[in-house]
Amino acid sequence: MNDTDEDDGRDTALGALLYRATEERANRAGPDFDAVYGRAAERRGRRARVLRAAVPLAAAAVMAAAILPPVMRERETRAMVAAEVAILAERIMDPDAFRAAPDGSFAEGVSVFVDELWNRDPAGSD
Amino acid sequence: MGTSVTALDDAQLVERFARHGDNAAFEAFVRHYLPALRRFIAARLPPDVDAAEVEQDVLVRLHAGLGRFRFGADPTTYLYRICWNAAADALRARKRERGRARRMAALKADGDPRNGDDPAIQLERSSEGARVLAALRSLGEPDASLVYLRDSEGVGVAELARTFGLPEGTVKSRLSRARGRLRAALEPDTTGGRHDP
Repeated sequence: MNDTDEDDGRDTALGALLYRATEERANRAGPDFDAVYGRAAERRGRRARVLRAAVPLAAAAVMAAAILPPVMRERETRAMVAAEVAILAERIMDPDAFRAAPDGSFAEGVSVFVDELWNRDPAGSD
Repeated sequence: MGTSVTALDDAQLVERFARHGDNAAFEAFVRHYLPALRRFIAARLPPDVDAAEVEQDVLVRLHAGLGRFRFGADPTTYLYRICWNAAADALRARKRERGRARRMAALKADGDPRNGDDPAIQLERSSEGARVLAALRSLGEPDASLVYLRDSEGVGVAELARTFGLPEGTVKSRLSRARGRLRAALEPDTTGGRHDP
């Protein structure tokens, strides 16, 4: 356990123990390269479809907000429209794609995105 | 683009993918590194997190980001960084899911659906390798990843410093302390056999 290779500061005994443990788990996980690669390619395709659809949907929501009378531009209204946008986006996704979203839910991401856009001052610098 | 991808080295594969979007070059590059990436992900994640999901996520992120890779840099730095981030995201997602599951279980009063009753997960937890990995993970991050990548995968100190954004001296001192803690955590398993019936 303590036979550190002093030449390059690497503990090869510890490394061998860790290597065996990770190799054991990685092998148990099962799918070979082609399976992992194939599923990732499918996911890339789904993400691309979602992005193509989500941006126009979000843009439409922002435009809708711009023509809403000021009295309707309160937080609840924005949240409701953002939720509608998110639902539309979700309909073209499958559960795997949801799990791939960085924050766990694509709907959350779209809602935040729309909300951020909505909160921008049209006359402001951003 | 006439050269077969099998004749290209890593840097050439990355450049070909980045400049021409050649998926064959991407696949050849990934095929070379996937076993190491899978081992690193296995080291980072507890048994109840689906490693296959994270592997796919890494490949998706890699495909989206490799085109912006700075030529001349070591691609493994970028690869391990993506793996580390994807694993961290998966752990955060698991935490959120567990919170939701607990709330649902409290509402239904019929137990947590994610309580680890899955026989495959139980088997995985009971293996010798699982105990080693649990000891590794108990070091916390980035120490666990530093020890794993240095000692198991042979990643150099300079490269680790770049990957984790730490000074080389800090990497060395963290490695030294983390190895000591890991040896201590593994000691009962390697000396006693006290757990045997």
